[in-house]
Amino acid sequence: MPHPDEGLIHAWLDGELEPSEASRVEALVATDPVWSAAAAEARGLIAASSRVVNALDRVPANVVPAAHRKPRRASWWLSRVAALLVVVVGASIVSRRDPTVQTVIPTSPAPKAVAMTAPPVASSPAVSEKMKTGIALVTPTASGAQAPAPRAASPTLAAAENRVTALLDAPSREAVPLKKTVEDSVVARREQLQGRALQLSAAPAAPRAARPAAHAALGEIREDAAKSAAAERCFVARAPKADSTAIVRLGPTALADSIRAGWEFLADSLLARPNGRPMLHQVPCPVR
Amino acid sequence: VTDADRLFREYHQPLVRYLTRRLGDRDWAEEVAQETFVRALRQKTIVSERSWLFAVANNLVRDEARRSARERRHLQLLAAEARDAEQEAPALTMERAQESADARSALDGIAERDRQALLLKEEGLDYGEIAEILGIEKSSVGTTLSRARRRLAESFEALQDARRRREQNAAS
Repeated sequence: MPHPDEGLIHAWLDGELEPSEASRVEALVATDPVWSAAAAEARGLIAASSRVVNALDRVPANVVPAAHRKPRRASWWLSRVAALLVVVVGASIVSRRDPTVQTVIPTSPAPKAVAMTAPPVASSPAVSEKMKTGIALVTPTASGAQAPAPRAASPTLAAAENRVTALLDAPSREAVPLKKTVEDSVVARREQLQGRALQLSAAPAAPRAARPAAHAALGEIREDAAKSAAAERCFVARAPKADSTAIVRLGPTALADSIRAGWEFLADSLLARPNGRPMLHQVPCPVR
Repeated sequence: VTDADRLFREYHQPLVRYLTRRLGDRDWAEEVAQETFVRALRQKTIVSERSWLFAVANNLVRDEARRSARERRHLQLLAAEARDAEQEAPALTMERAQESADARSALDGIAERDRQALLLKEEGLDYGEIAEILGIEKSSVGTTLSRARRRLAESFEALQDARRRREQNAAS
């Protein structure tokens, strides 16, 4: 068996080969696992690259140019001077207002850290606010280092995560609830779920809004599918249309036939949530 | 319907889409497309209309890039997406903008010929047309596309993974 020719496989998948050559490649893909794997990978690359190109289409006119912006050397100094001023002014304000507050003017490397992370002072409401109060930048932590900037509130993430978990637990008359199965698969890994939970919770009324998350889910599913053929065979997405029983089954062979045509369809159906219910379903693996 | 009308109706949209994807600027794409059609109207005979139009558009872009007259630059998609912000949830807008920005970065990261081949293929041009436009052998289009697709997909995935890791770190 010849070694798989990636260009030839792409040409075959693009329908660009002569019939005789196409038949030869088809036979190789059908009989040789190496060629089959190469063809499956090529299909994935075609679908993925197409998705990336489509993502370019949300490009408005009158875009803001940036690449040729000249380096602003002055800002390097300004940011440090500004940071130092913030620290000094803040310290002096606090020391005047409340003599009981211990003012700590950070020595290196703290000023450097401020300068490296802080945007221009005037454009940063957070820093401006700190300047007004003169508290944040001079309040020492237990270690004496500058207190870190507040992160996004964790309750938001927790609430979103609970919500998605509840959605996954929601009973469905149309398909088998899949929490256990999903937990066994890559789809609902906790770390991924956290990120996706925020996305989902941000757009509760727009099924299409979940498409990027669906794309990501598909990508992850496919990645793991490469490691686990069983997981790939078992993944089934059911169309959310009430009058449709169409099922796209992503098995090693079916995937090859449907991945490109079914990509958008899957993306729509994976996380579309009519009636607030997730339409991501996984059924017992069909015997193949 | 004149030939000019037909030509415009048939090819304007795909040509602008191709140019927009390639240049990242719809205004610039429209201008190049218009100039392409102006030249097409001046042409007495065009054998292969689609190939001709895309090839001329390619040449116009290349010539303009060489002159650097316009000094077009890459996008700041996060800022540009503000146009749609009124209609979409902020988080969604950000997410899509990030995806677009990653797509743009990934596309910019591959070789020019690979990029053109990929975008032309996405517009439905066949290998013969792509070979004619790019001045390469038809037999090498498959290899060019396979390389372009792999690099684009891998680059995009790497960018997305890095972004996800950053988000997870920020959330934890």
